[in-house]
Amino acid sequence: MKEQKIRKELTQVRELLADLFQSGLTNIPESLVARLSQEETFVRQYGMEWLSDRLHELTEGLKARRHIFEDINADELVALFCRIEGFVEEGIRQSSLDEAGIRIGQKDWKQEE
Amino acid sequence: MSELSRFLETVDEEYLIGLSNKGIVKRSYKDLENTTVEITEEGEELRGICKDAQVVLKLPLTNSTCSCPSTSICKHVIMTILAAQKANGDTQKARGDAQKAGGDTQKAEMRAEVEIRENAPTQEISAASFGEEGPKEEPKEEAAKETIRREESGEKILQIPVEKLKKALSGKDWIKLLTQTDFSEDFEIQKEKLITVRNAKTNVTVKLLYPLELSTCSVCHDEKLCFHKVGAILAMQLQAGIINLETLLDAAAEQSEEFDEESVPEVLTDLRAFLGELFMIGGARLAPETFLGAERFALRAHNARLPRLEDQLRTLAETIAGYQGRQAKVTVSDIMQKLTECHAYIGLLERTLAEGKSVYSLAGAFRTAYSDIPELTLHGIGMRAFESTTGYAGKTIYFFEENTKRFYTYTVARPTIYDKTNRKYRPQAQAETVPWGLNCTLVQLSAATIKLKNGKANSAGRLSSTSQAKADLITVGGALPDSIGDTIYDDFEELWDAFRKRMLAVGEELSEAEKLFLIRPKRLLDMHYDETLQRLLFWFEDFAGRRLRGELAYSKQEEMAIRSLERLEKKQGDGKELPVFLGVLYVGEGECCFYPIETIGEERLTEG
Repeated sequence: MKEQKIRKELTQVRELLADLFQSGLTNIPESLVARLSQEETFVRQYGMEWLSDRLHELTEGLKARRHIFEDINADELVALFCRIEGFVEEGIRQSSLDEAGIRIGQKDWKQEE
Repeated sequence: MSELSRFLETVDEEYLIGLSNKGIVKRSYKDLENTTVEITEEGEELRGICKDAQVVLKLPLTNSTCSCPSTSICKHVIMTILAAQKANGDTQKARGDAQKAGGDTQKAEMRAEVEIRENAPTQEISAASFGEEGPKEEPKEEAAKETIRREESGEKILQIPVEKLKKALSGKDWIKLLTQTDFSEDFEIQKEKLITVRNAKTNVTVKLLYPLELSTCSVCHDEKLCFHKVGAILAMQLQAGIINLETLLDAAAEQSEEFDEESVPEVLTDLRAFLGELFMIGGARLAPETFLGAERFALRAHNARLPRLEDQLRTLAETIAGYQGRQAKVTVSDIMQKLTECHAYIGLLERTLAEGKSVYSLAGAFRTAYSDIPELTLHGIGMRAFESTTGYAGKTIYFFEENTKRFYTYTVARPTIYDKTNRKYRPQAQAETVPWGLNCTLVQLSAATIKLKNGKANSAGRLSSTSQAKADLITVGGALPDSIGDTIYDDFEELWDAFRKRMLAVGEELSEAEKLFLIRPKRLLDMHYDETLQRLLFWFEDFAGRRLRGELAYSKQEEMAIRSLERLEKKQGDGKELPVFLGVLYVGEGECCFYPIETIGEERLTEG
C-alpha cells in the first residue's frame, strides 16, 4: 500500500531527525550526515521533492559548520530543522489517516508486512 | 396550504440529517418501503399515524412530538415528514395534471379556433376572447412566494447583530472561529429552497432559515445556535459586506483589558534563543535543570498573557523532566516534537507582529474555559482509573446525555508525588469526593442517571465540579435511554466516516470526549497477551469483516479489564453475543484502533 510505504519512509526520516537532535546540531557525526544524504535520495524517489530539497539544505548547512570555530548559521539551521520536522510529523499523521481509512474499507483483511 | 406544508416542501435530505442523524434518515427511507404513514392536516399541525407510533408535526420541526419513548427526533417523525412531502407532491402533481389537462384542452380549442379563423377575417386572438382565463398561474405564484420568503429569511439572517452571534459562543470558541476560519475560501453559499452554507474544508453543512430554530447543522443536530451555524451566518454577512473581519478581530483584542502586547517581543526573542540553544546542544547533553528553564519561560508567557505558549512550555518542561527522570514512555523524539511545536508557534507570533497585526487572536485562552451549559440528563456508562506520566492519578467517569447524544466526562485527580513520601497522607479519601451535592459513591455515579442543573463544561466536554452546579439522582443502575441506540456503530466503515467528519469539523486534535464511540462488534479475534510488550492484543470485527485493532497495556488499573476481555472472548465461542463497547477511537501506525473503556450491559469490563 502506497500510504503505508510513505508513512514508513517518513517515520525513518523522523528517527533520523531524532538522532540528529540527540547528537545536537553543533557537531554532527559523519555517519549521520551520510544518512541524511541517503534519506534525501529516498524521499525524492517517493515524490517528496520539497522534503528532499530541505534535507539537502540541512546537509549542506551542517557540513558548513564542520571544522570551524565560528558559530555560523545556527538560527537558520534550527529554523530549517523545525520546518522539516513539522512537515514530517504532518506527513506521518496524514498518511496514517489515509492508510487507516483504506484498511477499514477492506473486507478481506490482509495485514501487510 | 399551511405554513408547515409549505415549509416541508423546502426540506431536503441534508436538512433531515441535520435534524436527527444519517442513520435515522436511512432507516426511515427503508421502513417506508414496507409501511405507510397516514397523514392528516389539523390546522397548523400535521398528524402522522405510523404502525407503532403517532406523530404530531409542528413548526419548528424540533418541537414535533411522537408517542414512542424517544425524547429526540426519532425515525417516526422523519417518516412522517417524508410521507407528508410525498402526499404534498402527489397533491401538487394531481393539481398540475388537472391544470395541464385543462391547458391541453384549451390549447386544442385554440388551435381549432385558429384553423377556423384562418379562413375568417383577421382578428386578434387572445385567451380572453374565449370567454375564459388561461391555465391557472398557481404553481408560478407559489414559487414566487417561496422565493420572497427565502429572500426575507436571508435578509433577516443578514441583520442578526454580531453581538448576538458572539454571545452564543464561549470567548475561546469565538476567537477560534475568527482566527482559524478562512471566510473568503472555506464557505460555499447556495440559495435554493433553503440557504445552504457548506464549509468545504470541514464538510460541515448548515441549512439556514429564519427564525434560527428552524436551521440545522450536520454535526451538532441541535436547534441552538452552534459554532457551525454562527460561522455560516458570519460567512453570509461577510460576503454581503455587512461586517468586516479585521474590525471584529481588533474589537476582540481591545476588549481584553489584560492583554499587553508590548512585553511579547522580548519574551519571544529570549525564548527563541533558549530553544535554539537546546537544539544546538542536543538531547544527550541537556543539563539536569533544563526543565526549570522551560518552566521559567512558561511563567513569562503567562505574565505576557500568552496561554497557548504557556501550555506548550509547561508540556515541554514535563517532557524534559520525564525523559531525564528515565520514564520509559518518554523518548528524545517527544522532546524534539515539543521543541519544534514551540519554535513554530513563536515563529508565527513573530511574523504576525512583524506585519503590524495583533497577536491577541493567536494567544489562546487560559485553562479555565468552562462555560454554562443547559440542564442535562446524564447517564453514567463507565469509569476508568488512570495514572498520568505527569504525576497525577484518579478516575474519569463517562456520561451519555440523552437529548444531545453527546458524551461528557468528569475527572477526579490527585497528585501522586506525596504517595511515597508521606504515609499519613490519605489520597483515597480525597479522591472519592462526589460532586454536585450528590449522595452516592463515584462507582454508583458511573452507573447512575442524574439531572445536572447550572452546570459548566468546557468545549471538550469535561464537566466542572463547580459548587454552583447541583444534580438530582434519578436512578442507579437503571436502563439506558433508547436514544443511545442511535449512537451505536455496528458498521465500522460508518464509524470511520463519523470519526473523519468529527476531525474535519473540529480542525485540531480531538479531545477524549470527541473520540468516544460505542461499537457493537460481531466478534473478538486473535486475542493474545504479548509478554514482551506487556499488552493484550486483539481485533474487533464487524458483521462485514472489517477490523479495529484493540490494545491494552498492562497496569494495575487495566488488570481487571484485561481479564474481562479474555473471558468475553472465550464466552463468544459458546454462542454468547458480545456486548456494546464504549471506547476511544484513534489511529495508530496506519490502523484504526479502539481502546475499550467499558462494556454496556450486565457485565462490566472493570468489575472483573
